[in-house]
Amino acid sequence: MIKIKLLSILVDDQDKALKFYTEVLGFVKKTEVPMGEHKWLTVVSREDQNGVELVLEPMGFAPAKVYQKALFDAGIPLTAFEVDDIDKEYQRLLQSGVAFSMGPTPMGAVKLAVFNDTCGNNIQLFQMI
Amino acid sequence: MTYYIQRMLEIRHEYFPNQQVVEQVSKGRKFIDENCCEPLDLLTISRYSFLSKFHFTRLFKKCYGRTPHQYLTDKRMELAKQLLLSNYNVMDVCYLIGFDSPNSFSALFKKYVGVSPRDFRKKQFSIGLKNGYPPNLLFKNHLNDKDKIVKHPGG
Repeated sequence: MIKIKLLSILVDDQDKALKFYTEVLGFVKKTEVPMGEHKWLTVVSREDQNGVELVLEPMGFAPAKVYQKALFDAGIPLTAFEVDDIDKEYQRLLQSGVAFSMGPTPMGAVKLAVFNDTCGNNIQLFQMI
Repeated sequence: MTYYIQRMLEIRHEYFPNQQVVEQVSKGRKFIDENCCEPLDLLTISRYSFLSKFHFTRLFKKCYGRTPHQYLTDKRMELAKQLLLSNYNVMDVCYLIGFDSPNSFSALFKKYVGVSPRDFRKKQFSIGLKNGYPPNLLFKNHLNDKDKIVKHPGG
């Protein structure tokens, strides 16, 4: 059986990313394996700790920076997280100082919002309506 | 306005129904969510959205990328997995999620999950045993010592 278990995002600073993804977004650290300069670092949703793990991948390959910056400058999200109530989540994150490039906006059968993860990425929130 | 927002608004305008229609279709989807274990037919669901069944099916696919029937089956299969993990037997699960025939339930489950309900249940039990937890507690992460078992109650 083959299944999706990991999702990677590139971050410019793993410690800063861990702080943002756990303390601001509310994920939980799952694994941290030191590997010299960097580490294998994953977080999971609090309600689904055996679900898909998000790898906070160190930016160790220079051309990747170009890719990440191009996406960021165009406002394109690198990935998306589902929420139950996007308006509530938007307010909560705003109050925590998170910067949004797009507030909750209907798009067909979903409502979307995009924020800056402070680690070089735009991240999208979505709620199915 | 970022490039992304600009493109998103163009795509929304070009490919999606207006928001009022989306809300109507969404009512049908929520009706499926709330009644997925009952015998459901397209006419009942589409009436809930105030749309004809053909119009509803076409719009549902446009909004959710699946037909209402596929959506309902996905829901039922997810529920079946949860019930199997909670120690229900295959026959009970079949009737609880609205199927009439255990054979058609098992065949569809295998098509969706890749293994039969019986094998799925067996596999989860063995994972649970290996970890020292009963299967219905498999995905809970804050277990107390009293929740641990030495062996599977039925085994």
